[in-house]
Amino acid sequence: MTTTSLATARHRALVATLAAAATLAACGGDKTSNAPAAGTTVALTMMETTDLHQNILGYDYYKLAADNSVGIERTSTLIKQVRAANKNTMLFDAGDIIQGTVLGDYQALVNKVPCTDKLAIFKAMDSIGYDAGTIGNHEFNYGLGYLGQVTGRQFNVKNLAAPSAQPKCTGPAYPQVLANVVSTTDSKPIFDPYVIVTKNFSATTPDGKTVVVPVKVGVIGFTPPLIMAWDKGNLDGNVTTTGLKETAQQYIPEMKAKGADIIVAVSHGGPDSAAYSATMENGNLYVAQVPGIDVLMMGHMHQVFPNANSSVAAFGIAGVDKTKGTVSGVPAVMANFWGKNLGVVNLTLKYGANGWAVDTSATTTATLSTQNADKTYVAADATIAPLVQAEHQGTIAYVKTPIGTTDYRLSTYFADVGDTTAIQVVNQAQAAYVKAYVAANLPQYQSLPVLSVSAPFKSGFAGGTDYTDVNSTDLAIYNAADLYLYANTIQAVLVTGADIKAWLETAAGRFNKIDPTSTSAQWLVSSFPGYNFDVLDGDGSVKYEIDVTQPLGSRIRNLTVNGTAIDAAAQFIVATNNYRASGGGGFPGLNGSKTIYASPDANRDVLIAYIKKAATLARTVNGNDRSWHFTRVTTAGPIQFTSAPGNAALAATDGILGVTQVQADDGSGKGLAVYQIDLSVQ
Amino acid sequence: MKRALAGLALAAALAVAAATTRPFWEAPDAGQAQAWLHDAADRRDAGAEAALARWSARGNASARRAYAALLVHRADATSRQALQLVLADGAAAGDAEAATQLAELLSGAGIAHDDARIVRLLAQGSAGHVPAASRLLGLRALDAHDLPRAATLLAQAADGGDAPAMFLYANLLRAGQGVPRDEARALALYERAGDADYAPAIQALAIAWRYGELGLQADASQSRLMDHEAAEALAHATR
Repeated sequence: MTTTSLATARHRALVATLAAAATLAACGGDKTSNAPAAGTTVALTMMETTDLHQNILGYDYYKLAADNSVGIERTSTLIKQVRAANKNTMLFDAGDIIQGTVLGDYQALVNKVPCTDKLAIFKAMDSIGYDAGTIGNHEFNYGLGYLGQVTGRQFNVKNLAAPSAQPKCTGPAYPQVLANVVSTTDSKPIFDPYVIVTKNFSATTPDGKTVVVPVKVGVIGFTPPLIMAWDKGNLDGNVTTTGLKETAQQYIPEMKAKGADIIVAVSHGGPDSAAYSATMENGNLYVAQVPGIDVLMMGHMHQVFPNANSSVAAFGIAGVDKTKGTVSGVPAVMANFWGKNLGVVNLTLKYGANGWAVDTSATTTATLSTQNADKTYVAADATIAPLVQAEHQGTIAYVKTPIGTTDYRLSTYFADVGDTTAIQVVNQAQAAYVKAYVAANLPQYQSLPVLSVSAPFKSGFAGGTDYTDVNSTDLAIYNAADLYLYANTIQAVLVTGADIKAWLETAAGRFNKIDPTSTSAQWLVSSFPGYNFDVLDGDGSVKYEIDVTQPLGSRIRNLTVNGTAIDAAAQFIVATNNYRASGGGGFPGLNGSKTIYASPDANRDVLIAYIKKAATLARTVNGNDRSWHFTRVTTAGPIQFTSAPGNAALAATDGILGVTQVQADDGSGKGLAVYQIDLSVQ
Repeated sequence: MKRALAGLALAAALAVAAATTRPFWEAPDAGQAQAWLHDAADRRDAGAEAALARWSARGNASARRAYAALLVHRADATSRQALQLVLADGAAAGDAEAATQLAELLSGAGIAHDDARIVRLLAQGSAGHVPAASRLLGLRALDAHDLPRAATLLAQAADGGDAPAMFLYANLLRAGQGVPRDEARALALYERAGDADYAPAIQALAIAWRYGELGLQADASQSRLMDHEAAEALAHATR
């Protein structure tokens, strides 16, 4: 612990004493006391936020739309409610604060927050008022230099200038503690390992009087030692981690010796029944066993604790009581993530011969949700948004920043009938990425063709607005999120020609079996999900037909690669995503065993990089391959499907012939029109 | 037996104490001593690693496991060869975990496959209730289009806590392949695998929330949360 933090603690204690005394004086003149009578009690409510991940406002930057389910602006409302209902409260944060939204990336990587400015999330947290907090694993994602800057630290580590040569930047006002990350330079923790905060609480004497008493609350912080693997590039050689249990065993007695009356462990992790190791990810079962810890504030797992109905395995292990809310007998909470919940621990402190002690029989734990029982959300604290308006607007401007241009409209309105304008570029990006990786790292596969699959993730399920539609000459980051909806990562699978045919046969389940002799109208599209309608592409080298008059499993016809019928025994590399490669969608042969490369990179990021490199997407290069089309067939009756209304001309522009709108409203109330397609001209 | 192990642990600990950073002589039992030894060896402590190797060669099962756990993270040919020998010793001694690990090792790229031996080892592992062995046999059954057998094996593996098996078995349950269709059970399995941070299961949940599948009521916000969870799980898995 540094002199500075002690001085800060003293200053805070003084301010708190004056404030509390003034409040009590106004209430009727009870006296302030530094020597409580034996039996004096304090009702204390401790609150926790965790895994905020820069969710300040309820807003989805990829959709450019409000999302009331997240954001500390609503947690703040809960905090104010708890403070209004309880005289003595404290607030802690269990880490993963600075990273996790576009806003986080914007401030770290795009328009770096200046040394003199406070990070947006810390502006909000300081406005709310925290007593202490710790550092999560994601705090290390942007490197030690950035972490030092935004937390107001001058780390003494090898990859940074000497602390005296580093500027002292603006960090949060509340003390941040972390005991188990140690500099390799001086073998000291890079943050204060703990802090002892003196709080002046309203107390009740045995004879019923109200007095103000000082209580020294020690707060120690921990983060998962696996940061050394997760952020190896940022941390290797600069810091090391120590085991949670040993670290707690080292510091808790020291904190007690320095006068801590009660001790709170704020530990960015959960419990785990595995045998203890100094590198385990979730070591809180063992931390809580260290004598002296009175309260455990957890995080990292993005779960709610206590929760009697939780199916989380870690909450069902011996030593964890998910109903009562204890870990190794210590009251504990975990407040979910993104500000969705607030952890609450209600303690009764009793003064006795040995000082303050927690009356464990009177302790309760809970989490409060920002979501009401009727599924609405509590109102946002209106004081938060103005604090971060500049950062919020800057982030919106960033996601709207062009990353390239296009000379054609990329949409999925007619993906069900062969339009690949919004899919081809995804496949091109995936294939190019995998080709480059194979060339550099997998020489044994270099002679194999690299193909790619992707699906129209937005294909009208939720109605006429649920389609991908990039209808602008400028392509921005949020457009990439429209083109690639999910946070998948790229994987390359090694498959045979037979596997590919089976893959496409499954995807062709998207269509009903059409009876060409029927004079009745027939719906073309089945209930098979659009997100599983994988489209194979080989940058012009792959062609195939889907014959919807045939039964499932026999619909793929004339599947060719470079003009030659595909060899069932030949090997191919197919670029896809981790979900599909692991067995998602139940495609035959895909079950995780065929992956030859599991990339850490997201398909969406690969797409963004591809567009940036290409600078301009041209229909002739990126939008008119049309690797598949329906097998031509003349039907006696109309073949119909739904899509957003008024787009028949777009189908023609994209080369899909014979499409006409026959009904502007399909009657579903979802903003969909009925179209008809002539299968004889495909 | 435990006392004998503790004695062995103490002897080994004393032998390497000077070269390591842990107070092994304070270990409460043999398991803890081995965990500390393994920890030290993992930090490239030659003395500790040599002690583990000696212990392993003498037939001590837990030392063999600890030594294998150390070697499995090394890619050099010498370590791979040592790992193969250690695991083969374990499998021969009836260690189902070792048999499974050896089968996985022998299935890897760059090693000439003896498929019959791999299947025997997996059968040994599965019979010994090693979930990964049941899953790998289940994958073979899937490839052979023997869906009922695949379902049985994947269910075994899922029951044993294997997250990828939970995901694959859930896929069979929701499709009614090899097993009666049961969406509620599939959902529960996706959630269980998701709780174990298995990204594809969380992605399945993200999709299910988005489209209102598996008995869930469509909820775009919940889908987004799951998508974020999946991204985080992927980051942890691949970083």
